[in-house]
Amino acid sequence: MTPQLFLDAAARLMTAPTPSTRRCWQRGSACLTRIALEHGLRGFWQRQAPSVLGCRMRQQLIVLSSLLDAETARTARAAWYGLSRAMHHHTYELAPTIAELDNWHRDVTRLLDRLDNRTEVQP
Amino acid sequence: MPTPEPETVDQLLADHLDRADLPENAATLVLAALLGEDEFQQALGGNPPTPPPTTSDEASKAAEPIGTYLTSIEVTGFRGIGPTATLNLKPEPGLTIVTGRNGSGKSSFAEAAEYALTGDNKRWSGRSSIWQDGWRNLHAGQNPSIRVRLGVDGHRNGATVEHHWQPEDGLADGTAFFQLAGEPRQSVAALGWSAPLELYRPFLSYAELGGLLSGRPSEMYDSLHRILGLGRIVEVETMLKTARREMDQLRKLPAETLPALRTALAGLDDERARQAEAALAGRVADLDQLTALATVDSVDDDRETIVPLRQLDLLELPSADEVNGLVDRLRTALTRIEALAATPAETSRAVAGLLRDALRHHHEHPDQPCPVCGGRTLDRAWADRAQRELDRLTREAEELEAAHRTVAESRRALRELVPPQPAALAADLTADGVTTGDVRLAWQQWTELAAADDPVKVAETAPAGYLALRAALEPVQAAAREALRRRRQAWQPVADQLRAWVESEQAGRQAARMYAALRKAVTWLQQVADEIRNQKLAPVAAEATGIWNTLRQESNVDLGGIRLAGAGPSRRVDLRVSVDGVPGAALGVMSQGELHSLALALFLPRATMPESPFRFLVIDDPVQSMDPVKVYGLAQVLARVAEHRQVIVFTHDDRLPAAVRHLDLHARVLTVSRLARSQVTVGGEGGNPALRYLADAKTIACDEEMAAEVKVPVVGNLVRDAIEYACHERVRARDFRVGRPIAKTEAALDAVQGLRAILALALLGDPKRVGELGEPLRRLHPAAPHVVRDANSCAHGGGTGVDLVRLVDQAGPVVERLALP
Repeated sequence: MTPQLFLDAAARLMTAPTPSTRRCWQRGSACLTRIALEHGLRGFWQRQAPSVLGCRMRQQLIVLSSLLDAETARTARAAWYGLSRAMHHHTYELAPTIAELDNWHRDVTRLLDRLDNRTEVQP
Repeated sequence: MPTPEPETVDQLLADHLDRADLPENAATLVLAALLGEDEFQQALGGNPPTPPPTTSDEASKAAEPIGTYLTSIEVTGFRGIGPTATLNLKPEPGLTIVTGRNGSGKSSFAEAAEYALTGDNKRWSGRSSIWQDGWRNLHAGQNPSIRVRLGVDGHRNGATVEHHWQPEDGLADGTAFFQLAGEPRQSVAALGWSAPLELYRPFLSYAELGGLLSGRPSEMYDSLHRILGLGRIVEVETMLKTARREMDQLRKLPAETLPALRTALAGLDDERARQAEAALAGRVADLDQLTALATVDSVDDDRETIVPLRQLDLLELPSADEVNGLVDRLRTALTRIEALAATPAETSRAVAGLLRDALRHHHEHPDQPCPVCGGRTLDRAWADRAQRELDRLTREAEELEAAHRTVAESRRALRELVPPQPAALAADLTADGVTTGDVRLAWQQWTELAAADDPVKVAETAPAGYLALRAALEPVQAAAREALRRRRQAWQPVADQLRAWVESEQAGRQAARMYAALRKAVTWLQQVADEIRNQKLAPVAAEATGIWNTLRQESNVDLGGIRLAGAGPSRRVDLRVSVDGVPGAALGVMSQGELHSLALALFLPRATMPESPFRFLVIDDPVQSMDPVKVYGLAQVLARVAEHRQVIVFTHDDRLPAAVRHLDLHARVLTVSRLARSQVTVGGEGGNPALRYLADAKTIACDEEMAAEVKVPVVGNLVRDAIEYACHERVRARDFRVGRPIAKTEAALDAVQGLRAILALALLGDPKRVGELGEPLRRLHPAAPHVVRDANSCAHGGGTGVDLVRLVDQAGPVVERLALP
């Protein structure tokens, strides 16, 4: 499954959730968006720097800023941390709002484009 | 819950009045003011009112009104809500928490309910038009509408308040109606809620909470004042003060107009003016004398000029005809005398005597020769002739006498016809423009003329003399009359002014008495009002203090008491706050969250007064700036209020539901979320979040239509959430038992990242001991190790080949075990 397909699934949850996701579409959408980001990054590392593949996401995101422009790296970091927070249970925090999800989704979509432009990665 | 205050402010005031050490008239005024404006005005005029009426009317009014609950709020196209969304509530006492992130549309429910019931919204009123215009939701396919169903005590099917808008309507243009089930529609005003809404407003938003204490001090004062029914005191006080001001003006008025009156009097040459000045000269003006002066035409004392003028005015000369008549008689008599005087009178008398003697002789000795001449015989013929001669002579003598008498009479009549020269003419009236020289001369001449010796001369000169007198008198009389008129003219306005001043002085004296009484009354009322205020406030203050003490938890701010203090622009609510036991601290030392808690402590008693018809209470986001600890206090307070009231709390995070769960309080938790295009949905009761996550995971796992690649991470994520939640609760329960401060527990939980770390904290008490998790997990439940592993890998997009349904099923007992101590 390509990162784009995860993004599409995430978008579907936001616009037209199935009855089964009536209560959890926010977390589901966040989860799928994050997976899309992680998969996109995996392809990028395979092409650019295979040694980074096994690293934890925290480290991957740090390395990213040395290969891409600072702005893109910052967007990736913000999206990943935001999404991670959104998909975990946090005391006192309610599920993310549609606006937050939408922003992350847009950021990740743009990010994937950016990563694709640098590589010819096959999934 | 404050106990109902049985006594109305009126009764309290009347009681105080009975015991008051007030002058009688001041007490009467207060009593009259209590009875109403008319009675008060009468009392000001000096007519004490009749004794107070019975208070049974007020007693029946104070009875508890019919209670109303919210059954549901249905909103379409309003604010954040697009297509119709309904918030179903239970119309009975109890706590309902509606959670939803900011922007989820939860506040729109609160606002819609408030708008439908009150026709206003505190959050927008006073805001710019952008807020007022933005009320319409752009995603709604339908016309905006709000339908609030109400549960009404004694009406089985309740009632509905609806608000509908047409496409082009502004916020205020919509149509609204109220309908009891099975009855015709009525206007919303028929609810009769406008006063209670003002007094007991059952809606409170975050913004208002902030405003309650940070607004002008007088606003909170006014608000408390209203709910305690103390507006009555203000009303009475205003009445007394207004009267006091009016009386003050009235009592000063005479003094202000006095100089003008004095000037007017001084400018007047009139004895009355002098007397008026004398009457005004004393320390206290002689009003009786002044009234008399203002009403009399003249004064007797003003003899020197007024009396002569007045006499001249009244003076009347005989008519010319009368004078001429007398003169004619005189002339005729004189002519007659002249004619008769041809025969010398003595001779005639002598001849007559001689004849009379001769005839007597003839009578005794008829036909004898004349004894005087001895000639002819005095016969009968002679006697006849002599008799005739005698008669003629006698007649002439009588005529002459008569003529003389007539002359004398005519002259006397002429003298008496014109009165003697009046003394008035002797007075010096030149100041009044009356010169009497000519007329005095004319009069003198007339008098002399009438008294002249020669009647012929009198007859000749009298007509001319009369005419001269008359001619001289006429201008003098005219001048005298003019002088009198001038005087009247000059006096009249001053007399009016004097009369007006006397009236104003009389009113002023009454006003001065009333002013003194009113001053005492106002001073007394202000003192008593303070007592009554705090008497009425006491139960509310106690309630607020109790709430604060529950709310404050670990706050070092102590709320000692609440007092209404000051008056006028400096009126305020004194909160006896002490920080760390040091009294006299200002509100400034309190944090925003503490201020909000305090505001809530003050609001809750107000909204739960027994007199309020609202059995519901809608609070929008009270926890926003409260620290987690205070939220526990809030949860307890709300749960307590919810024993007797339907409490609906909207909140943007899970702190309040969590507090309710941790404290094992009874509450319904509803979740509002908002999809794209403003589709707002209300989730049912959440219950235990862990079980909810698992239930969701199960439905997704069983969802045939969803692609496996999508299902795997979502289900893994939900299972992981369930385990994380169970871990959180386990840690909290454990910490709670050992008395660890909640804030510390929460900080520790917040620091933990990741599923295995939280498991390590929950099972081993240390998030760092992730490596030692194997054994405790197996002890917890045999399936636990691989449930944790599979959930994690699925959540991260791995987990290929994992049986999702089985994973969820096995996660159930693991979560259950985690919940056990």
